Amino acid sequence: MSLEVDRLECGYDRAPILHGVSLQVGPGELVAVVGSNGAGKTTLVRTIAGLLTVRSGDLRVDGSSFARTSAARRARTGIVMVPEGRRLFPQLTVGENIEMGRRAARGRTGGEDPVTALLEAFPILTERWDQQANLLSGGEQQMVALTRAVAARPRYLLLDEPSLGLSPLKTLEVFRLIEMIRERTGAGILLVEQMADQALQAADRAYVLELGRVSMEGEAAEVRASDEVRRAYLGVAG
Amino acid sequence: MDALVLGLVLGGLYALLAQSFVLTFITTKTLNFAVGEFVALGAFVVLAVAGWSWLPDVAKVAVGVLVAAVVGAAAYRFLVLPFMTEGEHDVRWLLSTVALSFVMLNLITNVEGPSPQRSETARLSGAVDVLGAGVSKQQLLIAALAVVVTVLLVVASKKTSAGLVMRAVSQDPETTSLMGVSPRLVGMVTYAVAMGIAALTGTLYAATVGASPVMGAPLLVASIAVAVVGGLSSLWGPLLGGALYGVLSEVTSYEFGAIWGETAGLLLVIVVLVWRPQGLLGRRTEVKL
Amino acid sequence: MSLLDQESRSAPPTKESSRRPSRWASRPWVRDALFAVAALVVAFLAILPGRDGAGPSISLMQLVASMAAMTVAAVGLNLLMGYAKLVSLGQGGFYAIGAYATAWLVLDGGWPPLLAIAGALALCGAVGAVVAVASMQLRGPQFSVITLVLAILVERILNEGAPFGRLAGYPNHAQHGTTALPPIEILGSTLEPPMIANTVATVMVPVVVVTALVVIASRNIARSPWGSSLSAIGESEMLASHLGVDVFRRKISVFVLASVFGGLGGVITTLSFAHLQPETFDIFLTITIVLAVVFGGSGTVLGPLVGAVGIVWLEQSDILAQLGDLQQEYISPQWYLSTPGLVGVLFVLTLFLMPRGIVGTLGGLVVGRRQRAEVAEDDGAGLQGTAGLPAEADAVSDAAVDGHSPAGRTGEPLLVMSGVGKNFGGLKAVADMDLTVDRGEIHAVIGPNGAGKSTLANLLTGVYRPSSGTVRFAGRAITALAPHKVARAGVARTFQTPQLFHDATVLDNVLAGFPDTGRTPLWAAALKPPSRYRRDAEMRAEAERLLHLVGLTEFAGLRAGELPYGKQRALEIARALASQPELVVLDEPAAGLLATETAGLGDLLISLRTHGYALIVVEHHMDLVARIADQVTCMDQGRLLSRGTPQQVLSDEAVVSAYLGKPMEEHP
Repeated sequence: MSLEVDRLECGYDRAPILHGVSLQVGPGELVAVVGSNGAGKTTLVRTIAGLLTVRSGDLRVDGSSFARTSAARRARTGIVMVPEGRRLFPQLTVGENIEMGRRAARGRTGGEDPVTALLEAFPILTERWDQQANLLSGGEQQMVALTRAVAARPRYLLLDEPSLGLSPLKTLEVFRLIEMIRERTGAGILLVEQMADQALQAADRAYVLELGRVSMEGEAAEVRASDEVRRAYLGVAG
Repeated sequence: MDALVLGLVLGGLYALLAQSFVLTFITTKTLNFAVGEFVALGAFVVLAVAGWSWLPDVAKVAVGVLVAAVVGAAAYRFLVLPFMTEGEHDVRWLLSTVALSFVMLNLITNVEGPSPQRSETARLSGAVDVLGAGVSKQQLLIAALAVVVTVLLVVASKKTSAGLVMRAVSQDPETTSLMGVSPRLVGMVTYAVAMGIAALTGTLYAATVGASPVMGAPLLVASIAVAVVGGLSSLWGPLLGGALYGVLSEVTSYEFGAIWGETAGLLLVIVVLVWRPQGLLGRRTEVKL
Repeated sequence: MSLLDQESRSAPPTKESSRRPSRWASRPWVRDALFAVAALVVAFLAILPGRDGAGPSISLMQLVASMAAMTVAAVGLNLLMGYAKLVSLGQGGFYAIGAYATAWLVLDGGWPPLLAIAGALALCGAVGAVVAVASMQLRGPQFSVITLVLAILVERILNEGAPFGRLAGYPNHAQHGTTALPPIEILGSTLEPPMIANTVATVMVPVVVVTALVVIASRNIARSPWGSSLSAIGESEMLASHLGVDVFRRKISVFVLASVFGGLGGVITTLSFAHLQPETFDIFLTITIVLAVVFGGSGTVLGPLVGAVGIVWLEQSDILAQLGDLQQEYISPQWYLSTPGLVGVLFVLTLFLMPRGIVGTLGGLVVGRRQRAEVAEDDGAGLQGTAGLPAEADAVSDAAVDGHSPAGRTGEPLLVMSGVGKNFGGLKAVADMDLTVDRGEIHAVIGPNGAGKSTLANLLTGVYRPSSGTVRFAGRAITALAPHKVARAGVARTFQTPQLFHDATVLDNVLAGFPDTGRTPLWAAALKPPSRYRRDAEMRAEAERLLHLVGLTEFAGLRAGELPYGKQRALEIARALASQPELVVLDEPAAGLLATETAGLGDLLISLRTHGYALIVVEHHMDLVARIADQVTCMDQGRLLSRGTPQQVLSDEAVVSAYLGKPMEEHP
């Protein structure tokens, strides 16, 4: 019972970007992937979400492969991504954006609406319900993007640089929201982050990606404590 | 006054066809330059089934619309989609649809011959008096249909979930796919609907001028102009653009001769584009750094 | 030098090859001269069979004339569509205007032939200018639509307009008493068209010479800074304007140039055939010209020539007709494609199988080998430069510093923004901001998202027009100037995500940053006078110095897109410096960088300060800000929240609570 990435290779045109990356995310688990820009982090999540094609290797959820299905189909089976830069539909309202998220959950309804809890926790969303998305601040947009993803009833949630372009204060808030989503939905979360420090503090387990390869994996705390990571990603001399 | 009424009615014809440009532009940011040939395709398909007397006229028209819709969806899948992969500067689809137009026009001409053929299907004969001007019932039907189709499209886009999806795809197709909706499918459906509208226009128009391979060409130019004037991203655009273009060109040709009517209409396009590049009702897209 | 032109792509010196001796054939002017000679030789070889005017050679000469006309029109379209990425479907319209206007001015206007030709070309240019002004704000499909509208309009007027009788052609018996224009006389010699047996088709000489000259001129243009500006426009108009290109005027210029070339194609047709049929100037013509460019290879120098020759040959040979017959015989007498349909199929096949055209595809195949060869060649030229580089580089950088030192000082700080505000609708993005930056100073701007930092940068660089307030730079007002004017005044910038020409080399990216990109006049680009060669060499040396400064020397020959992200940032800074700015605005230069890369960036920015540049750095990385900034401005909700030294601002209570969330602390 997990999301498995098995010796994944892929890339644009001729240049390969990922060279045999393997990782797992269990249900309810928060897994961080850290690494420098160009290491292939974004390529990794975009490939899992189906926006890039798999060249070789496999993608499985609960044992069955989905490496050849379309992005839309993956979303409908509960593999949901929040893209880099949030990518709200700028001219739709907050409510319509969240409604679009619900489309991925068609056929998987039942039980409590996962959005309700978030709306209760963040009344600002209800206040802004009829406002056009591009008029929101960066932090609010990220909140809507995460809510939209929750509306899709994710079994596995892929987050691409949720802190990008946010101030330190807003970054903290977003991480708290991610924590809350994990508790409420029980989704496995794959978090790709430039802000290595915060990501590693929040995560259960972590992978370090370097030049398209996994160079280190383990408990997030161990990874965070290792010398290489401290030097290269946390900016600690020594 | 006559020219004014006739211009409005003519504008309706252009507006109906312009709607097919606006539809594909809104969802896929592409235009099908072979629309003129889909007009002819619709007319000839209906002509081909005209002899099936057991079929009511409405159903015959539906056959023409359906055939064009299927061909339209296929055209999107195989000639547009592969040629729009490299961002907004990528306009290879424009060349491939022009090529499609050549092929279809050539094929229809070789099969059906170049001269117009009389079409009796879905034809209203006679004329009515509108504000002192004699307008053929068929033309009035087309103009009325333009209004009906526009209103239907606007309501659908605002009130239905298909409309929501359409607006979402127009803003960000990739993210739409992350919401479980295939933008490719949306594009094919849009092309089907848009080419269906073109075929509908062709059928009704053929009843007035006859079906011929080149019947779409003059409509193509005028309806592109109408769509651009109204704004390619606005569903209401064609009606406004059609009214302006129709009246201006009709009044000018009435005063100065046919060639100047068309010239005036096309000059209108240039004036509007200088003044409002997004068209009269279009939405300006922000340039983002 | 053109950014995207594969053939011109050259690799800069590398250490291994820099010991090779210089070869004369590698000198730029020698290569240009060889190309010109080759072009003229080919041109004369093409008309050699017609030198005695023998009957059988007439149809061949007509074929050559058609090819020449198509080539000239396609070359013009290529500048527009291959480089500036403006796909025009109106080239056939200009072709028709050129053809008819020449004939009409000679026949009905009684103008002397040369004057008539000049008049026809001027008319094309004028119509082109009007259409260009009308369509300048359009991109992509809308631009194509408007140009198509033009072509259709021209076709209608020619088909239905008064003097041009539809079936009779122009001239025609009914109106003119003849169906052929009289051969024109220029400078005492009669230019006979290839029509009558045993009369030498003298017109062919000027036709092929003009065609060769057009090809040579377009090559010069494509490889000049003027050509780079087209590529920059094709990539991003916003970027082009920040490189100092007056995008509006440049787009009009290139459209007019393309229109005149289109018209020249028509002039050649008139002179060579002496009779014009309206139905040959239809939409099919305009599409054929586009096809010639795509088929041959858009954005390459020889593509339009190869494409035009190929398409004309194909259309005039029997091959397509025979293909049609074959289908009728074997498939169906009705369901078959004849010439226009087959051309459509060819078009689609080209798009599918050879998207870069014949020349582009072949070029792609040999480019690897070619590049390796050129490393060796260019190095010869680079040798003298390299030998003298260190001293020269110092001299240049001293000069740069001198430029910023006392002479430039007026007592006023370099940049003074006062009371600047910007409203978007009802939203106040920036309100009443003051900002002063002096030479040799790094001023950091920080603040939460949506605080207006980027807006401030855009107000300064001319992207937005301030709603209120003034901006003075180096003693003069630059408030509300367009981006290219701000850039020319000495303000360069980088972007949140590096905006590079990904397919061009690192060196070519820097070269695009020079003021020449915006300032080279068209005539100088086309004629390439000796001063151009000197300036090219200077620019190259300076670009190499800048690459050295930012630590990219060894990557000079790499495609910019292949650089690691951090190095792309450095490259963007080098390109900004190439414009010889006094102030550089950096928008989040550390975004997406590793901690180690951020440290390197800090070193670079500090070294720029010592070179006398003023820097404005919009940033989120507080470690970097604390390390490099002399002054820090913290914004919140469009207003000034705090200002002072990094220590003062970062410990300011207001900043901590609105932005940082917690005091700056050491990492664990």
